[in-house]
Amino acid sequence: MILLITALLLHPVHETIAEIEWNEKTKRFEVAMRLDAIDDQWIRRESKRELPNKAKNENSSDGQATSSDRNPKLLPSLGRRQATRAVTATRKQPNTANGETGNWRLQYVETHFLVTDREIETGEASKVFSQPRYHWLGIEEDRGHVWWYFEIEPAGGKRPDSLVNMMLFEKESDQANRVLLLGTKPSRTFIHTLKSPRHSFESDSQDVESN
Amino acid sequence: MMRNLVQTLFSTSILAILGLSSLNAQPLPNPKHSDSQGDRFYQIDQWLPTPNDQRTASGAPGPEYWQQRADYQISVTLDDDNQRISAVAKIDYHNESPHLLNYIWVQLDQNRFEPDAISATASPAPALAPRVTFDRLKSIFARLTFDGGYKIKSVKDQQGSPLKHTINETMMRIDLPKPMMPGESITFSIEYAYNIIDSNLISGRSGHEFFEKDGNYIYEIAQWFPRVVSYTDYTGWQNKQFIGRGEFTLELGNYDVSITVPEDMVVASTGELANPDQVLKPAWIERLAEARKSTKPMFIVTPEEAKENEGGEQNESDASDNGTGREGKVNTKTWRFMARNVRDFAFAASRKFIWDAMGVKVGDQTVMAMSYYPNEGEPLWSQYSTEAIAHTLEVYGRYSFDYPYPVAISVNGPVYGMEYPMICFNGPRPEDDGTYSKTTKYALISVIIHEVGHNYFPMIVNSDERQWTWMDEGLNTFLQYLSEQEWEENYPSRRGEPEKIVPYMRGGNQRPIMTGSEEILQFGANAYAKPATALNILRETIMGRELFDFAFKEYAVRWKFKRPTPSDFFRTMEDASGVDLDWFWRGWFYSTDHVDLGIEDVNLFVIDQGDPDEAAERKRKEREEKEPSISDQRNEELPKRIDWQPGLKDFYNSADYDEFSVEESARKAYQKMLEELDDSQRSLLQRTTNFYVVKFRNHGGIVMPIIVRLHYADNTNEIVRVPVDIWRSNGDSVSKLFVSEKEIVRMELDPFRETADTESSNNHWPPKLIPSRFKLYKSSSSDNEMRKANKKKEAAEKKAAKEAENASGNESENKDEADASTDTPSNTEASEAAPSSQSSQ
Repeated sequence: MILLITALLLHPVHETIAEIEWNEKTKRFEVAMRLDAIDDQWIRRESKRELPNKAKNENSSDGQATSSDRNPKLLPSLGRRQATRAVTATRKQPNTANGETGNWRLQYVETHFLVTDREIETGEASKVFSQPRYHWLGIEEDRGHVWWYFEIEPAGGKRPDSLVNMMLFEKESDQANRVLLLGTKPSRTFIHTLKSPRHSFESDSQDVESN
Repeated sequence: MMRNLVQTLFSTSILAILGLSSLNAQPLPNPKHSDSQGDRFYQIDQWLPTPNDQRTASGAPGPEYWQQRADYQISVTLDDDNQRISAVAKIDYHNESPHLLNYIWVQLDQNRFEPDAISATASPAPALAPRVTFDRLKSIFARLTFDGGYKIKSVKDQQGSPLKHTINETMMRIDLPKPMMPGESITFSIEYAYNIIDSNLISGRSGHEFFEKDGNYIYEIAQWFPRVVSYTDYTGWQNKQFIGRGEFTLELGNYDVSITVPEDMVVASTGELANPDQVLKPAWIERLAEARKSTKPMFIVTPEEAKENEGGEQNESDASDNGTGREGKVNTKTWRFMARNVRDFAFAASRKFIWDAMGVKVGDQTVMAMSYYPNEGEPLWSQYSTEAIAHTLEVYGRYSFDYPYPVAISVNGPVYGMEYPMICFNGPRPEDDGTYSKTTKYALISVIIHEVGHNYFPMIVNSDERQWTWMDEGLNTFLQYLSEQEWEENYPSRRGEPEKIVPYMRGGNQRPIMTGSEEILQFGANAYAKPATALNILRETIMGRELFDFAFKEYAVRWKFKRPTPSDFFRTMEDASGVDLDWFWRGWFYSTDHVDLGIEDVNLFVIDQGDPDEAAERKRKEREEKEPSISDQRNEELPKRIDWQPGLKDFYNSADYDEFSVEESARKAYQKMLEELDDSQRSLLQRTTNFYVVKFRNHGGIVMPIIVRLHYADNTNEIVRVPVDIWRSNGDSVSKLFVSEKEIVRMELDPFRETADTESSNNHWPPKLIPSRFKLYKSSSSDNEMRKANKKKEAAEKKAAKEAENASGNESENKDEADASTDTPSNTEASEAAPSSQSSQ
């Protein structure tokens, strides 16, 4: 058994905040997620470093980027320093055919923001990857932050019961991702951390109802 | 006389989600009042420590205020071959307290890198799914095998005799041979060494970064010497271990530090260089003198010189140029720095450093703003770093006090952002090709402002970071925001604007700002953003800039080089402004309530003159304008009995009967009433003023001023600011009267988004449906570019086809009618109109 010791946090300034709502009509989760612009940039860099062949266009016929098949992806490498410096970049940054499209963002959420309908351990997360389809809508800059907008369409139109949010866990061991579940009264809030990456959409003793 | 013209113009259902706040201000519950959370304005004195002679009720330090002091004399050697520090630290500890001390605690922060440190063993598992990278694995193994922590060689008294000491994780207790009396001083020394962490593998507030291509290191050295633990009037010895989040609680003192490094390294450090002639090249000394007078950053070590220095070759002529008098080649140099009245000491060293500097006039002195960075930081660093330092000194100085130190330094290395007296470590760099994104640019400027700003809070206003992170991070983030707004218009500040905190505050799962550092749930939002936003709201909306700026400056000046606690801050802000802010601290700092004020109800009242003729006409008009009921509509065609049995009709069915007719007696009564009024009363009766009674509900818990924009029928509008005191008698619900000669057609709460109101759907009258952020975005960008282009193409093709069709149709008409007009504009217009109308459908 590996003794897992995480690196300590410096000044924890990067967090994500997301709002998620189940649309009964479209049978999709609608997600608006706010990231620090630095994290958005970091994800882009890491996706280019680790996934040089992701230039392949996965756009669907309607022009929106979707992911039809789940391919387990390598998590981007650790190290905040690797995002903020280019010193050790002895290998070239590959150019993706899509340039600044949402594809690398979409690919990232496909492996880091997961809806599931059974109990999982994070080690078995890949089992659920084959199920949902992700639909990318776009981004919006918001003064130092970036909002990502996307939908998750579970297979069979059935609403899963859990959310696993591992955004930026590989970058910050103390990352805390906040998710507000809309459409419930009162609305509920989850905080996803390394210790607790998964939360159930049903009532959960870990969650505290918001006002 | 008043009448309710329209009983209720608008009303919403009350959600009645009236959860209790986590903290009840009153000592006893009060079931006899409808306030769900008690009196929001109840004074919070009982939560604050009792004032005393150390800390007064006004928030100022008292006549008996005391704090300990520790002076350091350290000789340290940086081993570049083994990435190791070895040193001897002599500490003069002064007991300024009125207490007797039997032992002294010393912090050994490097011990957190021992494999079995609490910070390691208490950490949760990292993310290993779905895959883990080689870098991540290397980091995990490094943490397991790294030989971290202090190797204490000796702890001795001034005479050189060993002192008994006990190490508890990141703290060491030194037992004194005899108790230390109030006012006494003691000197002891510690000889030690430790291995410097590789920042590539282990994250920390210091470390080294190795550059493979040239074989050089950048060292950023901090928490590198055993530092005396704070002994305070409110905790005694600060006894919290260094786990990682809660930072440092330190004593002020003077430092004399001699740093021995390889001869060709450049050292940046806390303090002023005491032996420039021994370590600096003459050219550098000359350039420094010039930079002191310069209004723009100047290179002291140029990029080319730094590049050349990376080679590491010893230059014989350089050895003779620096005038050291050393014979032959020397391998090391010792840089001596002196710093007065600082609470910590850090330094950086590298062969790779470019060094630039600029003098900044601050009060009576010139502060040297300096930056140290490798060529990998160019061109970003030379453009922005030193300017950002200068900007910070200028802006922060205005809101607090003049920067008191001789230098302010920013260093680029492996540590992304960390602050020490007079020096900070900052991370962002451009790409390999020298280009950089907008994000990187502003990240650099922001982090430098933030880290240099920390000189003020907590290096000088020496708050207890281990306990209250917000007292330095929150205040500093607030001033950072103000500084950013003075850098350029539309600076992309991540924190400070109230609407930025809304996504965090509208959810649950929070802890208050007043939470111990290690128990905070979302550090950035809780300890940085929320307090910074709260202060911004206090400044812009509650107190106004003049009152706030004065009070804030008063706090900074009062506690300069002293150690304030939260109550000192709260009390000072009220004391210096004359504003009762307990409700604000209660809501924003002590609770997890949020702001959500809503318009619940609007009632319009007008003056009823009492004129029976006017009343009759009004009622007649109301009757005529009233929509018939559904039954009336359907029954209209039904035959009525009195129509075919006229005998059934009587006076009440005749044209002579008018149910709205006015009796003469009523008119006379009215006239009599008028005659009994005086002129002013008669004049009041004639007014056509509108009286709007608007009911507001506090859904979120935090009471705030009510800021409403009233839109009038004549297309004008005005902003009305109702003070927060309106909530004093009831914190859940309040009605406010708006008197206007004009008709109000629309109301809007918090139009400038200044209160961090989390729910905008209840901010409007008439009600306005505000969709979720997602739906808003989706509806505004329903077409992607490709689809838009396709649609445009389709529309153009349809138009062309239509034109062709019409053209062929016209030709056949012309054949039939010899003199037929060829005026086809109408047809053309029709064909042009059709696609657009089709597309609009």
